[in-house]
Amino acid sequence: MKSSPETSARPIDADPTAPESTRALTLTWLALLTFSLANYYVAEEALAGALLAPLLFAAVFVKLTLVTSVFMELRHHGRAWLLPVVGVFGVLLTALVLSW
Amino acid sequence: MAEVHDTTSRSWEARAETLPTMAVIAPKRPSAGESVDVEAMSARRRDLRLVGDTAWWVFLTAEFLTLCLFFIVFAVMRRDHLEEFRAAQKLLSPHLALVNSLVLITSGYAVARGVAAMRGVARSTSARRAATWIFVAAALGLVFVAIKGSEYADKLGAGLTLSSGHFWFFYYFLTGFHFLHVLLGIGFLSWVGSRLLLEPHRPGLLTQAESCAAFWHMLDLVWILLFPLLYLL
Repeated sequence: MKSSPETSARPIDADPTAPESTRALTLTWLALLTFSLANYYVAEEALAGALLAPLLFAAVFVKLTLVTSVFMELRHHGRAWLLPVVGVFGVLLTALVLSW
Repeated sequence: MAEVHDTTSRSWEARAETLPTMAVIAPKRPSAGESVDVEAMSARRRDLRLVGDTAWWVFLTAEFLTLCLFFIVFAVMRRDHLEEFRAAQKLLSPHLALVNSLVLITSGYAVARGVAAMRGVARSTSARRAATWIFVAAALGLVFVAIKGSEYADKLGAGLTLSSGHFWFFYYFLTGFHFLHVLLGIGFLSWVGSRLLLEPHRPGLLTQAESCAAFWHMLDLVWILLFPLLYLL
């Protein structure tokens, strides 16, 4: 059944299930691509020396946080889970840096 | 053009009713004369509610945490067999892994745009547009599979198998686990895309698409970790 525009259009601000804006998605996508390219360049050119592992893991932390908060929408839906999830990323990457 | 309306899953009130009754979110029974802060309760429930199917999130979390343990085991093994790992890593192709990273991230973006299109965020409430994004994501998934498959063929052709050493065990185990999930994800995406074209008013379709998107993004997360661990460091 096709509903009228009046019933289908929902004001984003008033809707608790408001979706992620496409601009935020696009900016996140570009940021993720940039981080991936930068990681590759830094690693291949051996620019960071002994700091390479911490630097790459820090970039990974940012990328994981971007994917979960924007692509997986935890910054809008299920916000209570965002901090524990980021905490798990932090613990994992700290463990990796320490055991590297 | 058909529009996507998933009234069974999009209604916040309907979803709130389906939340599990847990002590942490269960409303406290008001005593005599005490008023119930409905707004606060609603906001609290909203903060806990995830997109898609909650049970699916539990499954994804369990999978991701299990893989996290293997990543730590990999790091410890690498420290103990550093020369072997470094020598083996030189046989990999970081540029192919970079291309795969860009492909998978872009497919994750396409899935997110597909779900956004289903909700009509950009006033593009057409099922066809959402299906296009979803199929683009599935196609990019196939590109990933093709590149990874060629890498597997190259390594297996060179006689490097699961039993060729510690590094190669982890390489095949971790990337193979991810590879199989990508194949599964492509199947899920294709199903959602086809439903969008054939049955755009199917009840619960948006929830299924959101769950499928969460699965695909979980694969993004795993690859974001695998890329530097196996190829760059």
